[in-house]
Amino acid sequence: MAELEAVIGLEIHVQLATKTKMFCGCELSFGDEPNVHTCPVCLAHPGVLPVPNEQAIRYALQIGAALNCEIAPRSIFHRKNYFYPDSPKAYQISQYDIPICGAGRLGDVRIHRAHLEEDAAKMIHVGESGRIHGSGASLVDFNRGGTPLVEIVTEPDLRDAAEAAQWARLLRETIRQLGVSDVNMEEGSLRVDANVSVRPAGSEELGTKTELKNMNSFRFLQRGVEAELARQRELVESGGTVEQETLHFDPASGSLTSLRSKEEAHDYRYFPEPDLVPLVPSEEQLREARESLPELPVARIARYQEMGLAYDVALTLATDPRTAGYFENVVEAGEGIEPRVLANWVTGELAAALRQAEVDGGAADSRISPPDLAKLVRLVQEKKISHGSGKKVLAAMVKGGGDPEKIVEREGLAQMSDSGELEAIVEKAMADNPDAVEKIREGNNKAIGAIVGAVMRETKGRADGGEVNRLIQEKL
Amino acid sequence: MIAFASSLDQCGPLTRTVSDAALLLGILQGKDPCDSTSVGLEGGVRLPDREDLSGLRFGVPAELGHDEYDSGVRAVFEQTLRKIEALGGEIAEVSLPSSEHGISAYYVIAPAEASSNLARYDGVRYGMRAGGDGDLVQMYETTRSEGFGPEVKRRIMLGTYALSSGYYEAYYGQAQKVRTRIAEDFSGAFSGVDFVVTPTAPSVAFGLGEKTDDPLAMYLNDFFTVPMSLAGIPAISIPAGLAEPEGGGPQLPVGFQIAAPAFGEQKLLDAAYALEQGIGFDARPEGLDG
Ligand SMILES: [Zn+2]
Repeated sequence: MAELEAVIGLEIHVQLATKTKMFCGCELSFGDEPNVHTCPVCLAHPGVLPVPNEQAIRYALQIGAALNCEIAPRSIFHRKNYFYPDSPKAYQISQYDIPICGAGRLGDVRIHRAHLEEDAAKMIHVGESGRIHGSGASLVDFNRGGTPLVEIVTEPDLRDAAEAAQWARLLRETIRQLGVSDVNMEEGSLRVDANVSVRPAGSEELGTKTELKNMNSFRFLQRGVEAELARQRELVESGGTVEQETLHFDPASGSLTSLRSKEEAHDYRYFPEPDLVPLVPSEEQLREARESLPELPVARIARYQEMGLAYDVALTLATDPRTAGYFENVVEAGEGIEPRVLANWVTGELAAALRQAEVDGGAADSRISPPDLAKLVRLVQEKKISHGSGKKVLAAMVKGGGDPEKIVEREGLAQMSDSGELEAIVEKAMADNPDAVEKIREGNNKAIGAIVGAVMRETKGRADGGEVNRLIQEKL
Repeated sequence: MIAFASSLDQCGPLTRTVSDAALLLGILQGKDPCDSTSVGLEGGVRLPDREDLSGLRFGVPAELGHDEYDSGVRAVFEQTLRKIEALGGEIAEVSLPSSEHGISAYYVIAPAEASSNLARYDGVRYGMRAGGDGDLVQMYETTRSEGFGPEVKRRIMLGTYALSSGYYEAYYGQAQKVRTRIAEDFSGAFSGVDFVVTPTAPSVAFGLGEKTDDPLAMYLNDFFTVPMSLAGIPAISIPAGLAEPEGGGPQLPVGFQIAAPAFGEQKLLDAAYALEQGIGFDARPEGLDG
């Protein structure tokens, strides 16, 4: 049998951080006492009508612009009809065949569509599991009901669970930097569903998919998709077929349970919402949405890669615009030093030093000015101090700031310039570690570490690692 | 106003005279911040004072076959057309070929929207609840079975069916296409005339409960008024005379319907006022003095 390839698409619900709900004036909230942010509109009293939230439309247009979506010149709202207590009207106002945002792209993944809709109320199932099965009663909190949502649907362009989680992170970061949502997965302001299927590698056809609902962290997303892919692979490889169904992943047990099968799928009886007129964005709204975009992670990553940064370092910086800004200031001050080296200091050594010192906040909030960090890196690059001493200076700077040159002077960390002194120390270290010397002679180069370590201890890190290595090789 | 069929629902004045209708419409009209589909009439509504109909053209649909309405209604309708001419108006023929499908389209669209609008009466948050001791679905079913009357249930069933997957295009989709055609017919007609006129109903008022067992006959009573609602244009019905029911009995009022292009309310009220004055219909019930 041909090898099976995973095909994954994501559906992401983004709660928009507007002041008020999608179709009424109730305030958005999280964690407030139940049913205090309600009104006749979001409780679906007889005789009320929805009035669209302009800010939500603006945010949806910004998301569309950030995801390079085609914006529909005229999109319409539909009613999605279903009976359930979380839906007081017994229908959700959503978009169906003409969404506000059409085809787009983020990174390597094509966007199928993104549309505006309203969130359902929150159901609280009384009982130990917190889930409906085995619960004696359910309560409804309408505070969340009517919160504006943008649902983003990707094309099935993802090929494994890690890639799916990685891309979802990029999407969250993109949306977060737009400032249109809190994108907090635990609080549910970002919710991810995955459509998962397998097919013979190289096939163009899509296999039957299952839908994994509502995984509330990227880790659970990855684990859920991995578990489901494993299940499908095993099923197909043993001659079975995948049935279309909706699944729940329980991260505690790692198990998948079926929520409903295809036969139980709802017939939502979609039809155009007659209470609303079509959504026709003005030229000005479209321009505003485009112009409001900050430099988004995807663009930043590309720019940093062009500067010579590795992808993961570029990604780390792109997901943290304040640190990225700091890094760019360091680059400016550190003219002549490779940005790649400076980036490693910012995301590596400095981040570690801040963690070590238990300092809150990132590089941008630290006591180290970008020119001072650039100066420190230059000292290391020019071999005026060793890398190890550089880290010591950095630790001192994290605590009290200051000019790295002065700290080097104060702490006596300048690189050993007297090669005769260093040579003597190396010789002594080799004499003290005859086993290591023997191993190196036999071709085990790793053993050199023991000797280098001994030299560094003796010199308190002031020796240049490269020079020490050279001397050891010479003496052999 | 409680939603029944949202794309057709509207509030309109029901008054004894055209002037009263104008007064009330003046209050009702306007952009409502709680209704995003509403728009105001530019310049508002003023009291009508037109005395004749000179220079105005009234279109009678060529498709208005004689089978569709009672002879008594026809007599009053034709007599009213003569009155229009006497007041200086001109009668012309217009073509509204799709209007005959109006009832069919209406009785798909209205129940479909009603099935959705009435779904909120589920016993969860307010109003009547029955069968609350059982599970959720049982409570829904009992509440709605006991709470709605037979005609409402009929429409909910019809509408739910018309929107179901696999039937949507054949019913709701088709009805929407008919609706578009009807609107196009009217805009075509209004390129040649100022108004379209028809009887308001095919017969005089039938007895209370008389057609309950024959819903189709009851639905057909809306034959002349439904196309205007579907097209989204203003129309007014004024009493034009009296006629005997087809089976005999005391004479009852006959309505005359005038329809105008969208936002033509003022023009419509002016013409209806002139015609009302010309007809001089006495709206007071028989045997009442003063
Ligand atoms: Zn509300």
